[in-house]
Amino acid sequence: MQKSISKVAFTWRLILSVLVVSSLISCENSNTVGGGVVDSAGIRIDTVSIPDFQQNGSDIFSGKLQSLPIGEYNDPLYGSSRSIAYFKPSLGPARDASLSLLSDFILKLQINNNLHYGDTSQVANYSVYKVTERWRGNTISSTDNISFDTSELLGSFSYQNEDSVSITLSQSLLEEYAEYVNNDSSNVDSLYNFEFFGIAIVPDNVSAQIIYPNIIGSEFLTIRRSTQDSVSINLQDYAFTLDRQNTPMFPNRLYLNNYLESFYSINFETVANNLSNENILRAELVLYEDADQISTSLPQNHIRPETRFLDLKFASESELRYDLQFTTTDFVGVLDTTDNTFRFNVTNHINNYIFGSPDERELYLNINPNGGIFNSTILFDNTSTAAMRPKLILTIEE
Amino acid sequence: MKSIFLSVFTCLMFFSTNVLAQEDEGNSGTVYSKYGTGFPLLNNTAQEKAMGIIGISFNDLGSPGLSNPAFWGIGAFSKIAANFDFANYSVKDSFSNGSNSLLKIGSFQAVFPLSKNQLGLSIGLYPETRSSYNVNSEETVIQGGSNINFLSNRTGTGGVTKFEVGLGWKINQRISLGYAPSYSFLTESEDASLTFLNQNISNNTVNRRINGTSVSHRFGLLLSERGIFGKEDIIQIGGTLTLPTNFDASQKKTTTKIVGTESEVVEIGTAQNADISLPLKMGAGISYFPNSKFNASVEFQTEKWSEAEYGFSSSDESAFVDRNVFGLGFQYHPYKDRSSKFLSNFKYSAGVSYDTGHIKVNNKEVETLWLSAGLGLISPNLRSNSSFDLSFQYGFRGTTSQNLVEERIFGINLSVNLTELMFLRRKLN
Repeated sequence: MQKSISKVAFTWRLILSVLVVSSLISCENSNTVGGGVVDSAGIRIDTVSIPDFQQNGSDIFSGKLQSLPIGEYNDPLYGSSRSIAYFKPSLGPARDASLSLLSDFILKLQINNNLHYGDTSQVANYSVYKVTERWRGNTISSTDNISFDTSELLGSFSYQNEDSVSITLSQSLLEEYAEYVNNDSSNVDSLYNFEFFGIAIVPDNVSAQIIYPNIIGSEFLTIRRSTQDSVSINLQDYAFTLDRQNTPMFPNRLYLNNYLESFYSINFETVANNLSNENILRAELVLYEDADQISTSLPQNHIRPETRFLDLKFASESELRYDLQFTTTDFVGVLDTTDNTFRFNVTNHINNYIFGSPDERELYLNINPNGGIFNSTILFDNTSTAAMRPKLILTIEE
Repeated sequence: MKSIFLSVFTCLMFFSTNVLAQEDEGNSGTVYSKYGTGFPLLNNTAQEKAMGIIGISFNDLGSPGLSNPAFWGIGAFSKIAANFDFANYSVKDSFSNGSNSLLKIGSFQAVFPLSKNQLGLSIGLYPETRSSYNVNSEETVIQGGSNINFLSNRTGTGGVTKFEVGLGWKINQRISLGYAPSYSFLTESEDASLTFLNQNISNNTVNRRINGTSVSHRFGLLLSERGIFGKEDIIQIGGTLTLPTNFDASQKKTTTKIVGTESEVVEIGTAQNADISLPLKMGAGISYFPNSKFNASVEFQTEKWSEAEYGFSSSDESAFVDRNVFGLGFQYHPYKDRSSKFLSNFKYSAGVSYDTGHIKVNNKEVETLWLSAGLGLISPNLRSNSSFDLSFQYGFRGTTSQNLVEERIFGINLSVNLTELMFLRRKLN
């Protein structure tokens, strides 16, 4: 009997071991069985009209940008732009070398030759004049006027499609500059800042092209004529001013440019308030570019830098210009050339309204100043045909 | 025998921790448990499962039973039982096939004789319904001429659990009654997850949680008669009645969102309240014991699911149909011969049951046919009726037509039954 019980005990232990092992090896074989019995978790797509865009206008800080627009061009779509560039050489390196008056004084400009704006078939002519008032690149605005003396031509050059240009500046400018370079007095820096204002590069009236010298690679040079020894002189300051004429009006369109002549504010509060506790998986602001009008407006051989990105960002009212120009964008819209749309993922902003209380509510739509390269675009607005109106596409879990 | 029980409990503890771990891994049961508060359970013991019956007219002095409260007044032993269930599902529909498995603690019950062979107290904790599903699907939504492709997963767990304290009263040799009020907990949790193949849309999981409590009541009746067809025979007729259970339930949906710069759990929509009810149940059965070595039972239970409510989903509620369960089985007890043969140390059970199902999906009732068998081991100690019961079931549920799911279910059920002598110190060795 005892032997029999031991066998039974062994049998039970075996059975239990099988159970334990089977439970360990049993596992879920992932499959899609049951879709006809259990409804899938689903989504729905809602399209919501967004409130009116409020147009704003300003100008930009135009100094110390990476590229300096120089030239004049009358864009058939966006109107006339005339941009004058200002340069001032630094004092330091030339002082060390003790500047000889028997030298050539040269401004070398490295040109972004793939970023022209205007008629590329024509030669553009530029003149160099002496600036007659103090300016500072850190504070200058694009709509400022800086005076220069057109009675004395300090240099000139023509441009069509070169990678760089070298402008030989006048002996008088060299002599004036040398007074400061060769001055050993302790207050020479102060004197230089308050008395020497640099040069202006001014497009001739017949110019039909804006070029973009790149600050990286651009410099002043002094070359001693006897030995051909050269000294590189950094740019102490640089800026541009922009004079706009024939500024356009676009009915049924939103007009944007990156010199902040036109940008827009937008507020999603009303839209979000109608989405009470919805589970928004994606909220996408879609703006349609008027690609036809943009592409057909240029004559042959005329080019215009393309606008591929739009910024949508929060900005403080008091520092609006600075924020729009220099702060990192909160939402970026990349041009989708398949349907000519700019799409912004504003999901987190909408969810902030629904589930919290956003600290910042007013958003600004603009084109990033992009280092000085001029960009403009036009978008369909709320009065356009329904399919092309700005919209918020909501992907909602249900 | 003591070493066996130690082995068993060691294993069961391992099972218990394993259960929790496997639930975390998302193992699942029947896909049909998505409807309402889950798939209704019978809570019969392993040997009752092995016989294919519910347990309304059948009792075993060595183990307590949850099915009919009238049995709790019978016997002199204190009884404690724990039931464990493992099921493997082979599933297929018109498009795909797969498998899943579920290991869970079934029920726990203790019965104490307040007055030997007359009045007994039962304390039980057991699931009344269970949700345990994990369903994936691939979906496409067209938006603006382009497709949004995503994977959907719905994983549900929970159900209604009852904590029950009841009395069984053996009025005389022929009549026993039972009454069992219980406090019912409804806890359902479903995670609905969306995984987008397009990375521009955030993946998301919404947790839907339903909670509610209620009090419910059930009653049992047992009629017993000896010597009808022979000197040793016994015939038992059992009946049970469970009143409807009504919950005032609340539902809340949450998900995780980035609010400001922080990731937060937020509530989706507004919390809802709704009525949920479990239906009236009535059962009856006859068990016949011609001698001490053989018994057979036939039982029936009807559940009025067509009158049940599920206020959070009208489609779930409209799927409910009345459920009928039929069971037929027998048991053979060779161990009572005290033979030294190995195979004579067990009791053997076999049976068949048919369940019409409590839901009609896509105009088709979800029926289940169970074939079952089992064996039990009784303690050789004459002062104890402790036992292990093990049942094996093979079930056929559903169909691949009507866009439904066909399930082939292999189940193993274990009941561990401890009796009074396990807890008393012997005065003499």
